[in-house]
Amino acid sequence: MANLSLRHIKKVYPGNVTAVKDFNMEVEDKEFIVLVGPSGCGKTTTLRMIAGLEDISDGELYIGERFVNDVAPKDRDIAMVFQNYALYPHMTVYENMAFGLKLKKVPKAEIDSKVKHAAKMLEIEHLLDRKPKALSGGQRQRVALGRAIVREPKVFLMDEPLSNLDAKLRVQMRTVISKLHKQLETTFVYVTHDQTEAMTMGTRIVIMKDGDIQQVDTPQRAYDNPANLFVAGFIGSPQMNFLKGTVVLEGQRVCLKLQDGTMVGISDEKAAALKERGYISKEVYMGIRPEHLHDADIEPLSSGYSVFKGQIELAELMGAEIYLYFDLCGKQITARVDSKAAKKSGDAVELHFHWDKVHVFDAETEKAIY
Amino acid sequence: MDELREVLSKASEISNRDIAVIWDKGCCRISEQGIPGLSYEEARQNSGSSWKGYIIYPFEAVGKTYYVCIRAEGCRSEAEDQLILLAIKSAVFNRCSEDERLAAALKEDFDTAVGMRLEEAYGQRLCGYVLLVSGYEDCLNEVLQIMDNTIETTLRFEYEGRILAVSPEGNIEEACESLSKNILSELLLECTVAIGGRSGGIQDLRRMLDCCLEALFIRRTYGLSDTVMNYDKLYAYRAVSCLSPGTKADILAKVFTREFKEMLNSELSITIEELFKNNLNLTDAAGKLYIHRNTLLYRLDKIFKCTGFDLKKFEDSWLFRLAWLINKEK
Repeated sequence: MANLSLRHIKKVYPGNVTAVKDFNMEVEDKEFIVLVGPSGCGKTTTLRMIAGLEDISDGELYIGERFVNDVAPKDRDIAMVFQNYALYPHMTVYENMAFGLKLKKVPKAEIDSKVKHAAKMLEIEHLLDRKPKALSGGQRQRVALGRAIVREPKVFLMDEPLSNLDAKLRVQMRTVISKLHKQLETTFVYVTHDQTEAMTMGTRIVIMKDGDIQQVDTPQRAYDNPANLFVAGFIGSPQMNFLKGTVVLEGQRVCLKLQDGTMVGISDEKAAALKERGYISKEVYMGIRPEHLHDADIEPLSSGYSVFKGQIELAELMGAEIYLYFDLCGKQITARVDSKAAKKSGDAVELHFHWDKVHVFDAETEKAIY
Repeated sequence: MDELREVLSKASEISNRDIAVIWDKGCCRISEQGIPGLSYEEARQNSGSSWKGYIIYPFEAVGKTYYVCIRAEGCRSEAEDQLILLAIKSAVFNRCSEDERLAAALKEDFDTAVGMRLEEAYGQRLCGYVLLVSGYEDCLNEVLQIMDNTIETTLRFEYEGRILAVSPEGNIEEACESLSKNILSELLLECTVAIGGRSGGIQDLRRMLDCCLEALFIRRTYGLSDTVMNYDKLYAYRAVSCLSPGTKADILAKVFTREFKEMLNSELSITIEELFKNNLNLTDAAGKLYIHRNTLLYRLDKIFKCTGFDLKKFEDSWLFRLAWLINKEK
């Protein structure tokens, strides 16, 4: 069993700088947990506390059933892969992967079988005789992963392992790591600033900000039901559009009235929640994702929708899609529409969006209202 | 050991007294009956006094303290005792390995003869960058093996719980970074590698060792997380540590206003650190922080509003940096 239990973990650095406030979560055996958030949010500090590279100021950490707060990193049965790794330049790939086991005085035959098995998993068997300088960036990163795999740890910790690779390689390596997780059937804790990595790789993601957990959820749920304004803005690219509005009653229907008078409908569930919690006549934030705005010319909606109208300031063709930027209530709005729309700067645009795609957040607490 | 016994035997014969040398790992005595069960700790406590008919003298040799117990029977001559101590010191020195002698020479003053002897023994091996690796806990052998495979060294030995090494590598910082990363990956240990500077001989080696120690001190004092500390790149910290307490307080008060202290959080601290690391280059710093350049500008503007210091301007940023470093001092 390699479940992880982080119970009210806190990290305070000298000078009373709190890096992690109250990290509380259970990581199940064989889960792929991704810690994601902007720089300074405490994700790397949390990972380093799990590794034992950072002392825990308060709280309890368990790996399996074992309390490990005071256990040395090397005795925690973990392996770590870093953004900045180094390989032994004079050794072959095989020797690089075997070296850690040699240090532990593992028998030669066992080393051989473990190295070959890891190389097969990483599809680098044909590179075992090469030296690091003859490898590409992606291949080197695979060797670094291989060095961790051969240890057969209970938990893999990865600290931004792909950040040094170019965009194309990162996409390839994402797949490699995801496949690896399935094959190894081990617990992975992965730190990244990149929400795309988090969304594509994690079984659950932990979104952090200022040392606090904002939301722990599956990628899909974090995308569909962000817990607050921060998560809503952080998850998704381009990021969600936000506008301030007032909750009003239009006859029997609950709507949001934007600052320019635009009326936005919302789903029945959200309307009921707003009514029940006394939000009528109060200010809220509405959020709508760029991909949920449809160009009325090519994808008009037929029922249960609202409309944004504007003049395009900038149109960015991305290939299959086109990003349209326009101004509404003094805010820049982004729409991600089909490139068939063939819109250009200066064109008028009408965009439809379903009421059930509208998110509503409390203007003060910034928490989502469901 | 034989040489030491020989010296003790000769001294005992000449002075007609029992002599024993106690060091932390044991006792070497000439008389069959002498010093029964006197431990190193007891010898330390009794040093300079008479104990069961013995006079106990401490002396330093090759970086260790020894205690010599001389039976004070009959007439006791101070000069005779000093001669015995000298003879024993020389014997201890002679039975040491070259590395132990070098370590001893680095700890205490050594004369020209010792210096020449060491220069002769080590020759070109003393020439190169002086490194000090610390924080390897009980993994000395593993760290040495990693070192063998990562960085070229002409000399290395354990010195006061750290590894002292001389390396002829051209790109020493890169080599040390690799060493530190490999130790971290293999052993999950965060060792610190201090680079003292280039040594050209025994005198330089000693000076560069001091630089390494100062670099490690700076790392502790300013709570730096870097695992490779190049002394030559620590001018700012060295300059700050020389300021008087009054000047430091003045500078701190200018920057660390109440509003700034209230606003300062982990995110802002990292932003400031990264900006300085990237020589105030906004694009590079924003890239390292994975934020948009405008987000960085927004954060800098917040700092400007509550301190009056515009970190985009050199004039403002250097004083701000001084204050930032002073605030980190422990």
